[in-house]
Amino acid sequence: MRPRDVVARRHSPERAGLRPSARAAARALTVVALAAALVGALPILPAGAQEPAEPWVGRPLAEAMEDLLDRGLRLVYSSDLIRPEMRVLVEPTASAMQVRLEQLLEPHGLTVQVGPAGHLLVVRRARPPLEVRLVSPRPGDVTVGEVEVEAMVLGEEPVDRLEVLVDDETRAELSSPPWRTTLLLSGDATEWRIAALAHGRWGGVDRATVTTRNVVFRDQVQVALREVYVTVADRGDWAGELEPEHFRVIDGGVEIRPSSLDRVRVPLIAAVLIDTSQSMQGRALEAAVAGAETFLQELSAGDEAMVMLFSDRVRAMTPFARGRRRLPADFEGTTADGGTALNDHLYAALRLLDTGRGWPVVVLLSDGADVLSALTMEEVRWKIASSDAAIYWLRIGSRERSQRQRVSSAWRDAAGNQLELEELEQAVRESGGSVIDLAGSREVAGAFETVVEELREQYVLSYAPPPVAGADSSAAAREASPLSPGPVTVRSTLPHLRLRSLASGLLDRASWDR
Amino acid sequence: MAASGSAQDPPRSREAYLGALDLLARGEVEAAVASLLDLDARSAEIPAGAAAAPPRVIRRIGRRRPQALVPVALLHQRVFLAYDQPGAGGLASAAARQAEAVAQAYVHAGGDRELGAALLTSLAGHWHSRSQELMAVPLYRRALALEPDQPAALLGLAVVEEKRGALRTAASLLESVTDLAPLDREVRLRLALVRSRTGRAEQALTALGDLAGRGGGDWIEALAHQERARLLASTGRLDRALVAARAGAAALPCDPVLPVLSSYYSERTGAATAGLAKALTACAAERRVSPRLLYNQQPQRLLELLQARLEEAERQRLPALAAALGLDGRVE
Repeated sequence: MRPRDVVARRHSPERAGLRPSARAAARALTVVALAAALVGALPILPAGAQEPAEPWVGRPLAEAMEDLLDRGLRLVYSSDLIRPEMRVLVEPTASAMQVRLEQLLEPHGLTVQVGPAGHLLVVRRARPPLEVRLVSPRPGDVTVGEVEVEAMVLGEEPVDRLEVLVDDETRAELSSPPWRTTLLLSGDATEWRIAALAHGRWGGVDRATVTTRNVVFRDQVQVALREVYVTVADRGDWAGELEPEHFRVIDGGVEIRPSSLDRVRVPLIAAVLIDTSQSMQGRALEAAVAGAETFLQELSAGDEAMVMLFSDRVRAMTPFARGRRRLPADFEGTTADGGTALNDHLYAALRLLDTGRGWPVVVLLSDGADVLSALTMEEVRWKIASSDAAIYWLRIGSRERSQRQRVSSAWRDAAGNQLELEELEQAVRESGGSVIDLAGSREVAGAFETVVEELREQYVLSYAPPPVAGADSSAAAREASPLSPGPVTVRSTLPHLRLRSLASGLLDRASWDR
Repeated sequence: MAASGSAQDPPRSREAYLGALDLLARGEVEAAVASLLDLDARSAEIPAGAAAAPPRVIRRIGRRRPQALVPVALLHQRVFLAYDQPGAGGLASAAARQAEAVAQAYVHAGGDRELGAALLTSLAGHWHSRSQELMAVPLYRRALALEPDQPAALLGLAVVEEKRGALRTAASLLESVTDLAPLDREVRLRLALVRSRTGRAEQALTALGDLAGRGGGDWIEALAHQERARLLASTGRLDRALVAARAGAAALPCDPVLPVLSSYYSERTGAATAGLAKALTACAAERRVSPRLLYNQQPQRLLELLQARLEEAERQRLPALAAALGLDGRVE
């Protein structure tokens, strides 16, 4: 290699005496360096040598090069390779200077070669092949409902991120091993193209694709195990690891000990609804907006979310977007006014969630006093019943307080409004979510965190189903079989552990004879 | 005279009050209101309502020129409206009591009963707009005692009864208003909605269809579309409900409810739907009061008409107030 724009200079004691910051200032047109002293292959930092007081991470890489140069390393590099914007990414730990140099260069895809006269030349690392392979599923596998996708990455290039795509649409993004995720596959397609796309830290990209088969719902493929997905809403006093023996599955009236328990991470698609009606006046609204932001900050890269501020109309709404982010600045200045049309906006949120992918979740922050909606809660419950969404209602004020407030409007009398409140509570429970009562605005942030924690406590229990008489005896019998064999109950043998189905729809799908 | 039980008017308060009336008589209405508010503010040590009309002043104005009390009653209503901040409840109540007392004094002094009823109805409407139905109802009733055919008072009572769930009483009152104001769209809308909830769905559908078809581009048309769709759905005609909701959403793109209903009925009927997010946020930046909230509040249009009529009556009677105050602006 013959580096371009290489300038050689002699090491000077004056320069060696410069502090790193001063050297940086003096180095307007960097490139290079060639040390005059020490013709040794592996100079070692002398014991007690002055180490930089500050860590090197974050400083210009060129500054680190000069430091090594000043310490006597015979080094040649070009401004093509050591660019001014490059920073030290990993703190060097080695005492051998060449190894230290390699540690500095490695994250940038660079390395050193010994050149003429024993000079160390900084060169681009011969890019190793980045290769990704799909371990699961295999080509031709039947994939429906919850599908675990696992990839294996080969080659020396570190992986920056790995995307999992279904039919060319990114469904999950992983940033560290294990390269494994669970996807929800549903739809009418006859096959899926599942791909893993690895992005290397040095710019390399590799993709592996398999084509799998979808299952027509009427088909029943007998497998040994069934799965049931649960979230652990409250661990009670249990601080240890959860094991399969801590659970019992009751399927078809038979109590079964699960054969395995695995943590899962189903990407979320969340709608955060914040009531901004007049009844939310005061610090409650401010705390609610801050809580929503906390929620967004807690999301993972594969999660999607939107935030809607509503009263008797939509006051402001963000689009669905993936990953962590901040709320638009104008959300903070929202004032509480207008009436409450909770039912209408809860339905709208559920409807909007239909268009996304992932485990749908609604987080609703409201005192629940709906007096203006056009839709009744009974109508909204129809939607909830057909949706997989879990609804979490962060209720400002307690149930008792809500019941004491006898609110009437031209649209519904006090008794009618009370009934709507009770139906909302019932609907939340049926959805698999929960009502979290907040005594005041101080509890809002903690409630959002509780929801996020609960959403992350996802598990899949695998168990051998009880034998079903005649289930596989004839095509006619298969036609007559329901998709879901019936309700499945999961119990814990640990006291105070509170479980919830991950989502009613998922539970149904998990119960299919696949 | 409420809030002033003394037969003797305190001199300082009387002078300040007469100064405010001087301004009013000259047509400087806002300055007169500001003067009374200032009087209240400077008299913090005196119980709420320091700007209480000194009773002797009111009595003498009533004796000289009863008509002159109409602008005075409206002046106190304006003071009441000016106290719209939380924490000003005591001062607002005192101002409202003054407005009521002056209106009653006007009638007792031989003033026009119909105009007296209008003054009381207007005051009731202001209480109603603050969701203070308990304060509004006695005033509506006192107005109807003076003038049984006062349409805004009948409508105000009907709205309160509807909110209380007394739908048959509300329907009866609304039918009376319809006889008095047959072309009023708000009255027709409210009657249709009350009928829809009292088992007269077909009658209601006809009225709502008519209101929706006539346009107007306002909250009445929006509610006509919404409620027609809901009524069709509740009677099992989901396909027609969807058509009605879609027609409404197309006619009124800023309505916050019609896209939701349209989406819901689409889903129930298996029809395609799209653009819900866009429709919901289309007019989010505009701070409009939603039609359903407006309906839940006090009667709108008849009270507006009544207010306009009272302001005209006020203008006509300012010379009478000037005369009652005398050349030097003083009654005494």
